[in-house]
Amino acid sequence: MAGVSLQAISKSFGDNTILKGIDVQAHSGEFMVIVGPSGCGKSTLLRIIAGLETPDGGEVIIDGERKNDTDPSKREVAMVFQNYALYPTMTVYENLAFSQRIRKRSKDEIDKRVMESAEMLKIDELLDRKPKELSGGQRQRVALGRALVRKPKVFLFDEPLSNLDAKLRQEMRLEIKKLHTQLNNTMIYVTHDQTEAMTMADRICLMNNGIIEQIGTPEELYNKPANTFVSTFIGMPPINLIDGEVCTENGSAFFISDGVRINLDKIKNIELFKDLDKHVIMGIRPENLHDNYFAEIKDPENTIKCTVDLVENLGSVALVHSHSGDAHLSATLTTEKIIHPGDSLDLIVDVNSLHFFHQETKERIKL
Amino acid sequence: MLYENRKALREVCDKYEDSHPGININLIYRETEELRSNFQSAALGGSGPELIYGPSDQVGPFAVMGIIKPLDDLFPPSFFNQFSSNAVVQFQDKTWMVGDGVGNHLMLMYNKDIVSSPPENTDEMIKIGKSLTKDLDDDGIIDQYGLVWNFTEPFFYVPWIGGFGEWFINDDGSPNLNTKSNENAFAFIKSLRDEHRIIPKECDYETANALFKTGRAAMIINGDWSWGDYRDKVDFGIAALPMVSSTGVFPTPLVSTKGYSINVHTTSEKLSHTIDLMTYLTSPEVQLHYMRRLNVQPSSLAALSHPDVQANSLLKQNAAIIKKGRPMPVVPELRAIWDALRGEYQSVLAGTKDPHTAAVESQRKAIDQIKTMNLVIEPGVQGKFIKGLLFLFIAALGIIFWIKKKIYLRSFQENKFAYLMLLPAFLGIMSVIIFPFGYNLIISLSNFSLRTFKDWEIIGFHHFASVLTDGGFYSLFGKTIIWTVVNVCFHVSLGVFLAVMINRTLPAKRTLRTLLIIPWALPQYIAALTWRGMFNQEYGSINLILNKFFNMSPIQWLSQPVEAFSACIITNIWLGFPFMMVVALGGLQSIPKEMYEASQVDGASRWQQFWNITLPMIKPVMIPAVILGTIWTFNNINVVWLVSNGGEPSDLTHILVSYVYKAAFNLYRYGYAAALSMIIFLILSMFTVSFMRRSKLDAVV
Amino acid sequence: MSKKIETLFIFSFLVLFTLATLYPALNIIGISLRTDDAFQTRSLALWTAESSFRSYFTLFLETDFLTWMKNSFLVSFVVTLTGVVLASTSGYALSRFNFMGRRAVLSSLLMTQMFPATMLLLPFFILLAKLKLINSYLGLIIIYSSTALPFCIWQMKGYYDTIPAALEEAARMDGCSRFSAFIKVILPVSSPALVITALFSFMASWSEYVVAAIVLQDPELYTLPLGLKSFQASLATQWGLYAAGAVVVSIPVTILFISLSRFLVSGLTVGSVKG
Ligand SMILES: Nc1ncnc2c1ncn2[C@@H]1O[C@H](COP(=O)(O)OP(=O)(O)OP(=O)(O)O)[C@@H](O)[C@H]1O
Ligand SMILES: [Mg+2]
Repeated sequence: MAGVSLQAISKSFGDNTILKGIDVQAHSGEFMVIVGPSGCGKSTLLRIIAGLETPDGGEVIIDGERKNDTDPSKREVAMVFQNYALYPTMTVYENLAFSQRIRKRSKDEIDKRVMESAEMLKIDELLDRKPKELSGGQRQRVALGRALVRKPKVFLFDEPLSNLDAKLRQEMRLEIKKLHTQLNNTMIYVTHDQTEAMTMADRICLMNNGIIEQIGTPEELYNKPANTFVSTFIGMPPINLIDGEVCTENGSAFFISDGVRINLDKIKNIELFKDLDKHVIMGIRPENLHDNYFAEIKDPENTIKCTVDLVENLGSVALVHSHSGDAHLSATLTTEKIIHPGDSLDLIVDVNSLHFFHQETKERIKL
Repeated sequence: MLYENRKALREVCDKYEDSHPGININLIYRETEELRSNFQSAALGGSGPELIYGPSDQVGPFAVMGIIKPLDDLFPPSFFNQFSSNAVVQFQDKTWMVGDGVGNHLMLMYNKDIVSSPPENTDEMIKIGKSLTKDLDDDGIIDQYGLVWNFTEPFFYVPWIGGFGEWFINDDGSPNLNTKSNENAFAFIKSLRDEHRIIPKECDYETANALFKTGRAAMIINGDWSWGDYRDKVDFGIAALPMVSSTGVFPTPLVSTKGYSINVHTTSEKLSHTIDLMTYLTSPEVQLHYMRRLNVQPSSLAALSHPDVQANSLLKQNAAIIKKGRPMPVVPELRAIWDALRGEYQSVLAGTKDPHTAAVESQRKAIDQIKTMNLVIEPGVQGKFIKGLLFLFIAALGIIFWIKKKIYLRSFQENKFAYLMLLPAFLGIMSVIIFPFGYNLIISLSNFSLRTFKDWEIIGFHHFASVLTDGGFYSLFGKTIIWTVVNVCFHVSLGVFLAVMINRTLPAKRTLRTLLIIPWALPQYIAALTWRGMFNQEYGSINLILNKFFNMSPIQWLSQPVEAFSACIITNIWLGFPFMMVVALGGLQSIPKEMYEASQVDGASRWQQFWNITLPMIKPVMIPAVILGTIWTFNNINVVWLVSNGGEPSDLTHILVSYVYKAAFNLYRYGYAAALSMIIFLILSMFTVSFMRRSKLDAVV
Repeated sequence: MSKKIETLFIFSFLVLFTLATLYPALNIIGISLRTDDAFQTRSLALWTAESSFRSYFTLFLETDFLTWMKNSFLVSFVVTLTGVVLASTSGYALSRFNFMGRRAVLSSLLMTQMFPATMLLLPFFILLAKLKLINSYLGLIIIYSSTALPFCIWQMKGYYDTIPAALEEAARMDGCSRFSAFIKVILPVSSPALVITALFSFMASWSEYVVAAIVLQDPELYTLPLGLKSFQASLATQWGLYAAGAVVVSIPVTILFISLSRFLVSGLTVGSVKG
């Protein structure tokens, strides 16, 4: 199996610099998800790996070989496109067989390979149909199948699921993941959906504006976001960010902003604050806020008194949007207690799950 | 040249080939007008046939352009002496053509079944004519005419000027149109039509011919070339054109010859063969063959004295008629005179000018046109300056290219594939369109015309200035705009309308759609000529239908300016709407049904749906089609030229492009025509750019 | 109910309109069935007692019509082939690649339509004479293919623009070179536009007269329009023959048009704007 390594990749379209020196490695057999907001350059990066775009600078290394100048047809890389790009004039069988015919494989071998992939994807019933006679999900499978037949070193996916409905998307997510465990190929998967990234990735590469914000396992990105951008992007519903300052009163450290006051004594490396300027951004994920009503140990020092603005019922939990002073806080709470807009609500903060970021650089402050 | 004549020529050539093994004679037939323009182009390109056979009046222009050889040095004087003087065509003291027959003159022919003896004078002609112009079945439509002929053409008209005393051209080639005789002749013809009503209201050559051949006309004025055609169909007699009663003078038909000239580009190895062939083709032997087959009056003195000729009564009569005629002038100015005369004459016939004004005007116009035709603008300082500028421009391009060569090279290497894919088409378009375009640009800055055919030079923007300061240009431009706007409006509205209609559930929808496309499929020139036939005042289906179903009196479609222009427009609308319909259909198919359903729920009426959904949705598809349609219509010469027969009446139905054609090929004003076409090009470019800007379509490119 | 009446109304209107539209075409058929002299007639009937197919017999048996037809087919076939090959390749380059000079090429393609074609004749002739291509089909074919080309390229480019680029990218990933992706994947998808391009190229050459008249001089080489025109001598047109010829000339184009009309609507992309 083969790894993919990108070194200092840069790319501009005219005056627009889309990629600004990207370094990333997908190890052999790894499922790497590239995620980021729309327009950040994910597809461009993927297309550079595929050879569909030439980078302005940097190295593309696949399986240890520099491939910058290799034609896409010779890279042994397969790609699944967002809108499937099935050949409309060919039947499903021909679509699958196309790459093999180009390579002049024998008829038997082609047949064997096509049937193998078709069975794997449960599309063996559809082989005689034309793409326009297929449903979205079926087309997606055919597109996958077309890549599978190739038995490539590396699979590339460009938002393959974004045209499917939610249920189908979930199904296909599992399917692709299963494929990965079966084949154990290197797969690079582009999406802008953080759920897909979190659920599928061995490692996530989070991009924004042509640079990489953070690379790491899903847990790393969730637990130790490198900056505010990462923290907001990963995690659903998104993290609450509150501007404030850290002060010491009577030997205790506090985070204070309009409406929020939290005792930080429980945080071990409190010294870290002291050297720094005191304006910080505090991040707290909705799932780390709890209703005081249910709390076994009350902690008045770390309770925020809020007024409820809006309640979104998600079934087992409710997403409660509230505010205290200037700070907006959303929290996922159990639906055991019915909450109405306008109610007042005491939210307990789990101090150990707090994230702090520099106000200026937005970088994470290591605790 | 008649089909029969062509066959006869082929026969004598075959004979020659048989007796001269190794020699192959290639006959290329072109109609007179085309013969002229094609041979001009061919000569300019340094090629063309060795021998050119045509009417004597082409000698002047060809000689002036220097594209035919003087014959005096090629043949011994004794050669020329064997022909009657009519047949040895001289111009500026040199001999340029030798004819194989004499004639081409007009005469009165009468159907012996209807007319017992031909009229001696015009009074008699009118009397006979009146008694023979009949409405046989009393339906208000005339079924038999006393006299028919292609009276709107100057060639068929000028004999009458002579009949009224004076001649239309002076010996030095200058026009003599501002004369009482001309006025009287104008009035005379008009009175034949409007007062005495012995000739049809509209009568072109074909109509006259058909009427006479089918016995629906008692008399016709036509030339000797038509005998062969009539021989088996009508028992006809010939006579001189009847004497004009008021003056006692016989009309003077133009007598000319058809003969051979030699291309200047004839290579020396072919020259002797060419001379030999020409000697053969003009020999008594060949002429007698023609005489027997086609009744051609020989030009060879030996042939004329042959007993067979002496015994031929038709030719005898013919010889007498020829005596009343005058030789056809060969000066190039003739064309300008024809042109000026034709316009004014047609105005008189259309009733828009009185004979006196028309006579004065035609003289003035003829003089003007001769002046412009013969004008040679000497290259002055401006010419040198422009030459320098052109040189600098090319040099600048070269320098820019040199400086940027790295960038170009890189771009080439990056997109090698794209450039390779583009290359063949690029070469084709380059040679076939860009090169001619550049050539025209240069010509438009030059003094290229009749008198500078081979040694033209760059003179500058003279032609551009004269186009833009000429009032005529603006009226032509106005007409062109009307032409374009009316056509495109109809094309689009009719096309969209039909598309919307067809796009619903209808029985036989496909068949209807297919049938409606047919006007687009028909070759344009065939369609245009068919329509011209349909617009004929008396026999055209349009007037017949209007009369039958709407009880309308016949419209003079082709001889009144406004009507003729409308006829062109109608034809072109017919030709052009299917294209827009198809484009609109394509646009309609991209509109989702839901949009209509949604608007129905909102309570929109059909009309509102059309304005608020259909139109905006097909607009992006229609706009480029409209741009293309506008360009095509603006530059569509075929329809105007063919339907109005080259701008008739009086050059009032021209649009810019047809005028370009006329200026270049009829009046030899290549430089002027090229400048005019550059201006057309600029107008259309500006239109396209601004239209695209306005409809925000730059993005397309 | 009112909907039915409306449909009936529209249908009858369309039928009437179509008949009116077809009249000129029928008219010429009518003329072709008459004798030369009966063409000036006041009868509106297409078939009269005097009508016969005589002109058609004369046309095929006594003139070189079949030779001209063969020549026309030959020329048109080659022109169509060249036109399709050139338009499909260069249209592709213009649709897919953003190379230097692309915009210039596109606008000049449009510009070529703006210059009055009549003025191109003289330079054509000079060029062909210099290249010794007078009186050869090669010269004619070069001119025909190239004059129809600008529109055809636009047309093809417009169609390619509607095909997602992912399609050939997929093909390239599957192992095709740029060219084979174009041939194997894009061309089959573009068949409606190719058909239309072929149709236009065919039409441009099939019934063209003016250029043929300056290029072809040997009667053996005449194409149909030239032959047809030779029936139409300056002062003695053989109308029956001419009309019969015109009908026969029109038939192949009309049949082509009719049989391809379903592609016309989907394949004609003058208007397609890149979205
Ligand atoms: N061929 C091109 N020419 C010019 N600009 C381009 C081109 N391709 C992409 N871009 C620009 O580069 C930027 C990044 O595009 P890219 O497709 O990589 O984004 P993305 O991260 O995949 O977004 P999405 O999630 O919407 O697919 C965008 O702003 C886009 O407009
Ligand atoms: Mg993308």
